[in-house]
Amino acid sequence: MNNTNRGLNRTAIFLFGLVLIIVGAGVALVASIPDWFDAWKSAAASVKEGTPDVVSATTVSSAGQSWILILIPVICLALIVLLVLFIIRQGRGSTRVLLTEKSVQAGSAGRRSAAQASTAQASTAQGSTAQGSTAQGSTAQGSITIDGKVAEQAIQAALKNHPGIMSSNVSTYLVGRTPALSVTANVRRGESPQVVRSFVDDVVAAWDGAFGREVPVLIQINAGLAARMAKATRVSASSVAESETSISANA
Amino acid sequence: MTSTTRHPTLNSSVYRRILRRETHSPRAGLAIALAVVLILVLAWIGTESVLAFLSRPALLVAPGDALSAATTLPEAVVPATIIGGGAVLAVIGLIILLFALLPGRRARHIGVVDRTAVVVDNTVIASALARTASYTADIDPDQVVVTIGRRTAEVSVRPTSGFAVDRAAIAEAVAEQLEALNLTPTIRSKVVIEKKGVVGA
Repeated sequence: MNNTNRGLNRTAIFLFGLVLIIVGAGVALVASIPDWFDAWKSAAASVKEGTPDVVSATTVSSAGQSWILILIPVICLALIVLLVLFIIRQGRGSTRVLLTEKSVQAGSAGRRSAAQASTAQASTAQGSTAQGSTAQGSTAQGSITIDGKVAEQAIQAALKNHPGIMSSNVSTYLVGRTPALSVTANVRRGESPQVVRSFVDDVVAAWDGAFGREVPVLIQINAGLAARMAKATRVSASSVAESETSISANA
Repeated sequence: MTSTTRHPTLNSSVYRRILRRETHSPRAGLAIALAVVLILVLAWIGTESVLAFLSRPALLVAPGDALSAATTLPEAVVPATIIGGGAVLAVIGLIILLFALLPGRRARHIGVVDRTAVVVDNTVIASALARTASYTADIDPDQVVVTIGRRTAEVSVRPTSGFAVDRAAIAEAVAEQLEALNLTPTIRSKVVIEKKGVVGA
């Protein structure tokens, strides 16, 4: 769910492959046609003859070397910087903020979610910042920011109650401009995906109730490395029904 | 507490984008690898140039020697070698090009979008089907091997030696579970009972 520029990756890989094909096929083609090969030989010879002239024309007298030898590293360095930026550009897109809301007229919207934010905060005892309009009465203006950690920790804590989910990870991403939650559940071997999905759906529904807003949620059901190694459990899924799905129950 | 009908179109464009991205490879690994290769080559060329400018000994090849070697290449090497080298380079380029052009699908399937969107790894689908098949046939899950493709699931059952298994019952149970999963793209299942049984299972 990250923000990798896939078009850029595709273009870069395409160009790299294309250059290799053009150079490789071009060299092979020229070498396989005798007339073209002779033309290549004479061109190479003239380049070889011309080289000392170019070198002497560009020589810096104080150093006794051609300044081309300085130009090349500068160009190399610039390209390296671009490539490093390209590498750093991969991934990204995760965000800390799940919800930001400005309330011009303090009242319904802002107050409601501020109240709910504090509910959520109480349930997780972590990381929500509510710069509230509530404290200053009905004419105040303000904004509310809900940290993604609130949702992440609340949902992750609730997922621990399912015996089929060995480990889970919840993170907040920006999809375009919309904050969205990514819930990854690494399930035990043989665990039914629809059972896991409906459990996570219930957890999300409980979170929706506590949060008062609905953000997009992606559930990824994977088999973790540990799950692949582990033997399938013979325990039936009946214990799942009794396990807690509720977030608001804690609040 | 399930919220099925409250938001029939909730974030549908967001979900479409997420699901498309989660079922296709970002090609980040290959892109980074190629960039690293280029960085190393450029760093080497730059270093050699600086060393040559300072009249220091080269790391591997001095730029002047490299240039003269390149210009004498058609004289020094037989054409067959050049053709071969060029062909190898072109094939590597073609393989890299294919990585850019092919869809790069990941081994995952999409579930029904409701309040949430779901992506299920093929491994999970396979092990769930294996469990269903093994429960139905009353055998150990290790005696069932499931291979999941984009549109097919092959359930291969090795019965316990001396005990018959009900192929139709397994096929029905597996098909039922696949229907309940309601995945996209749809998976059709095929159950194969292997001739050789497992002894002592």
